[in-house]
Amino acid sequence: MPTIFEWIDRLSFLRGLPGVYLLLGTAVFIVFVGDWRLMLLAFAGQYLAAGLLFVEALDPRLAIVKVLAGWFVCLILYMTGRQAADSGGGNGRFPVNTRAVQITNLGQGNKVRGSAYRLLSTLSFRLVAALIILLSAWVLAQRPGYFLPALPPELAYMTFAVYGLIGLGLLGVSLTADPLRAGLGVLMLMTGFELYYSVLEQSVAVLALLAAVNLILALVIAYLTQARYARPMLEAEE
Amino acid sequence: MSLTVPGWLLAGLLLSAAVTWALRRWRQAAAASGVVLAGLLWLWLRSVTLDDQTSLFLVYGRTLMMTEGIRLLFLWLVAAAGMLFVLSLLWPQGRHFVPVTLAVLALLAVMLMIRPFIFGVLAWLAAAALLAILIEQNGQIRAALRYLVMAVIAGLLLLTVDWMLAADQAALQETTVRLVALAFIILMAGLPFHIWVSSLVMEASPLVIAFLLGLVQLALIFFVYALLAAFPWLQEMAAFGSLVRWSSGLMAVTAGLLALTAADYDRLIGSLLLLDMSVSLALLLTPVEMGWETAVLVPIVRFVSLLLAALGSGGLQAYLPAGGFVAWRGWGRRFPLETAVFAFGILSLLGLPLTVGFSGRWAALILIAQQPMVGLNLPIVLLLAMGGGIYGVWRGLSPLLAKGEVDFGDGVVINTTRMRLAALILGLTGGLWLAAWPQAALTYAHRLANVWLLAD
Repeated sequence: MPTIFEWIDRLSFLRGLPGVYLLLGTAVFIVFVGDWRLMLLAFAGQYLAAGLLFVEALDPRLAIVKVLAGWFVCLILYMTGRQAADSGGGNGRFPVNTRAVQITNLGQGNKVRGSAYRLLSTLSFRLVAALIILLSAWVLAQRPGYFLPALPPELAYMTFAVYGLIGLGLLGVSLTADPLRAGLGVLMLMTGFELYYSVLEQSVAVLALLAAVNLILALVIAYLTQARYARPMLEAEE
Repeated sequence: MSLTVPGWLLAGLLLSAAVTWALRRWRQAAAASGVVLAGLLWLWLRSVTLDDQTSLFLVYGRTLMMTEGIRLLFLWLVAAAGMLFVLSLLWPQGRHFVPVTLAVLALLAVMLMIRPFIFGVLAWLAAAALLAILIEQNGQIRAALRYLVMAVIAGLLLLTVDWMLAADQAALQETTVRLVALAFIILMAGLPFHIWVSSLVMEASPLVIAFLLGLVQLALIFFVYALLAAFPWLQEMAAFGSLVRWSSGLMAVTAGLLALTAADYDRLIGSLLLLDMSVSLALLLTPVEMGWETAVLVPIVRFVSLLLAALGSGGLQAYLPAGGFVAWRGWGRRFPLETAVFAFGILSLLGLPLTVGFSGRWAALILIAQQPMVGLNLPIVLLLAMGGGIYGVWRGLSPLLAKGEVDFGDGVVINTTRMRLAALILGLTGGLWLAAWPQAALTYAHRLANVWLLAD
């Protein structure tokens, strides 16, 4: 069985800028893909890419804990997505008090089927918005006035990753009323921040508490998703 | 490791949350046990004495410190939460209301007591996540999501600020001040980060609104002022004043315009809340030792006003179909007591004379006007926004008080129980008493502020 250090060695081709591209690529994919399963798969990949960037700032054993906590978040959200889909969230049934305009925004109306999976009909808009954010993040990352304070020069590429991920997280939150999708935006925002914060603060207690906050956020997102899609069904059964 | 006062407070709140969580399927039992447990906690908190040994509690090398100011604050928070639980007995809330409220109070206690500051911010992030659960109602999650996003952004900014303050580098001062101002503006729903307030009023239950904007905001104000008192230079930097002044001024203008154009009570109350919170934000422009007392007073009277509005609207909305002001035509004459309590609550929220809210609003306006860096512009903007609020309230209350046929709709049963009636009478009497003797609230705020300043 390879050790953590051997795994990191094997994935060394993804460290540095390639890791940033993978991280931001998954973030763009999450913003425009319509199917929740693909979204979560990309999200798990994003935590792996983030883990490889964390290795630059943290002890590898702490970085791997962050990846594992992230995958645990993905697992929580996968189970939630599964339950919500089973109870109607994916099939166009909504709580009784949902207004017509919300159904239009949330329902099948804004999704188109492509093979077994769905794409959002606002795909082109989302892609353009994501590209604008990436471009802005890249431009800011090149300007000395916008370098993140205390970031060592050899980690300058992290600025692009942090700005990009925070920007795409905010975009993800602002473009949707779906709790699972918006929740992934919040978690991306957290990951973007943590990439920077891990350079500033390396106390194990703080890192552990940040991981705990991530898990609490995942649970709350799961709760809100269930409340949105699944609970009216459960209450009807009661 | 023996438990001292901070440890017992946390244990008490968490245990109460666990007990009421276990009873959540039986909402009345959960609410009743919440009332009893809050009462017991209040009695215990009132009787404890703090000294060098009992006020400190160590957890994994971190210190929780209970000061006299925090003890007084929690006496108010626990008593007010108890009042909310009593009302939830009469107007049943969601099954998570009591346990999550108690758990949030526990996290707010950690936020205020723990040192260093960074752990307080992490406790705030966890509290904000729980608050999102509290806000959600009947599958409506827009307000919860918005609140969660804003609270997370503010928390992350404060984490960065904590590091910058510890780094103590001259080159970072300007950035630190901007980030601090931004975080505070977000926490106090300042423009343009106010978007969650109107959604909250539309989606959450009135008791949750009172908890969030009256009690949680008060704890946050403690947190914010603790930071400002520890680093007084933050307030002295021009960037801080400029950002806060512009945000509170624009927020007041927005609130006034929204009140002018409000077509239903949710939007009207949302705009009045924005106006009140713009006053809270503007108070950050005053030095801590001057503004602290009024900053504490404003959310206390806001809580009372929201509680009265919740009492009245709880009585009215039990029968009322959804709709704008016009749908309420004639209801005031059919339910005079409920209408009186509701009207008194929203007039208090507006801060008019002879209401509960006047003491806080008047003290804040005077104090803001006295600040040389503010001048008269901001108080004038606040007064104009209040004018918009007065017009909005007049538009809202006139159909309610007008003559008209009341249409109850099919299947509505009029059921004003004696307990509800007693709660309404008690609420109105208490509100009128506080309006007639504002010194009761003023004295409490004065005591809280002085004890806190002396202790810290």
